[in-house]
Amino acid sequence: MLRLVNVEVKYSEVILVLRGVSIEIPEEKVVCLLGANGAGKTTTLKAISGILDAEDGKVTDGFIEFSDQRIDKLSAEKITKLGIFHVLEGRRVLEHLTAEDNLKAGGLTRTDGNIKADLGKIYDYFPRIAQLRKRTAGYLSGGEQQMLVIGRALMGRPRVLLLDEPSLGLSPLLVREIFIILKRIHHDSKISMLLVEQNANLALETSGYGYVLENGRVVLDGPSEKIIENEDIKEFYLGLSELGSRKSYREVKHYKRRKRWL
Amino acid sequence: MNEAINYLITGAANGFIYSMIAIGFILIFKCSKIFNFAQAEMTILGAYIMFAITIQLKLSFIFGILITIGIIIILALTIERVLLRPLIGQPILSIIILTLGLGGFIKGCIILIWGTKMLSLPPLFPKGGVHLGKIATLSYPHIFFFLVCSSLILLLGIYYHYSRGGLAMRVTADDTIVARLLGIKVTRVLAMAWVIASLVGAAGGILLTTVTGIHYTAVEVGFKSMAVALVGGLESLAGVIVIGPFLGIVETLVAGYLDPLVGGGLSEVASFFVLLIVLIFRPHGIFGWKTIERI
Repeated sequence: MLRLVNVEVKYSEVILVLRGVSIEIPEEKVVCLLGANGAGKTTTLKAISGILDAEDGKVTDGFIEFSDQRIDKLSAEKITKLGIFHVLEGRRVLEHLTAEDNLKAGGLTRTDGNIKADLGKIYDYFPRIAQLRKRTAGYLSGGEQQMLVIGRALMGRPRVLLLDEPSLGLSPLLVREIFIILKRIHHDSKISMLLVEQNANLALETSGYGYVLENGRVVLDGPSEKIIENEDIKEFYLGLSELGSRKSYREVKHYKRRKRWL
Repeated sequence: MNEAINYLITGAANGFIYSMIAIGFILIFKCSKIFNFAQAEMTILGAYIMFAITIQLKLSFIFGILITIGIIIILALTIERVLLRPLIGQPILSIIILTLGLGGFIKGCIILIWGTKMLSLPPLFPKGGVHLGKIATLSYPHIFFFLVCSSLILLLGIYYHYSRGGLAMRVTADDTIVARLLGIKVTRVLAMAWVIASLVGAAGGILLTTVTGIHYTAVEVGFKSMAVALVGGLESLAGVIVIGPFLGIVETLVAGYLDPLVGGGLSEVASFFVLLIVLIFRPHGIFGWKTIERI
């Protein structure tokens, strides 16, 4: 449904960040995008949602397609109206608005009047937000803010949800909770998701298909259960040694594995 | 004593007009971080257009209001489309300087077209007023100031806090990138802010000049409103509503009691003096946003 074909992105017309990335997000599927810092994960999401221009970035080659319509030349607000909602990295809540107004803001593109019913649905997924609905969003805790921004995107009835590191800076327990809710949301409403994560284990567990990005290129892709078995992924992303046990850093010096895909 | 109460009433009435004009500064600032220096000139431009229609073209008052509103809206949209949009993404400072230049340009045009003579609008309100017992008199213009300003401010408040357009505006004020990702057309929000700001500015200008007469130096009303916006805090609509009458009262009290002692002129700087004091102790204004930081 959403397809990136050989997308190349440059910032300020010189800094080449994506060098021909091809990714496909099929209908009703969860796809994850892994990679180290600076690999181009966030840039990929920004290219899809059309906010590269705010940082003087541009899709210079290739194209992005959504249900057979090219969207790489569209403005961010038009792309959102097509149903692609981007949840930015770092819990960008609207700080000075109440939690409920944050959610209502997510429904601004909607023209049907069912905002109330959807609010109820979001509060059902995130009971904690329901209790805090009158609270100023800037004062919520990190986990609550992350729930709020996910809820805000859901208010727009997205067809594709782009999630940029929902686990960033949260306790392992909260991360679990959020991912369980994400799975529930996907199970209920079959929204396609593109999940960008540093937490490779969790991302691969949640998704059906995975891509590994390095230096702006897709170096590996495949069904998540295959990727999780890949020796390099185990070594470099999951921190496991060949026996499947946790890696002992005492031995790091003796044996350094090289990535085979390079 | 009677005198003091009358000063309070006059000051508060003028102050409400400052509040209303200051809302213009604040709306634009919140949505785009631009401090619109041209707001002061927009204020008197409204009065001059009104003069042209009702006195020079001899049309009725109602016509005057409607046509002025129309012209101001078109002007605000043109400014947004022609001057501001090409500058999106440029440093905020250059846009602020642009508004400064725009203000000078409008003022120049006004002097070119209408000259520097003192003009006057037809008196809108009868002389005299309502007597409150023996102590004070509410003059008709002041009653009218109260009514028009408070209803306009109330309308704006309702729009800002309870309508979809207002929500879009608040979202844009908070985070433009998020606003775009939620499908809000930021340029349209900005255009709306300019239209509202110019309209309240013009309304304030027309109201005040019916009493004081129209002269290009009346831009100082705009500057006083600027002081109101800064003292109240650039993000706070509520702050402005409180601070406007407060500064208005300070001004009339100074004019009434201190000016005779020093030979006049103090009242003109009173509000700026308050501004300086407030900015020293609270740089973000009395009700401005402190950036929320979680610890």
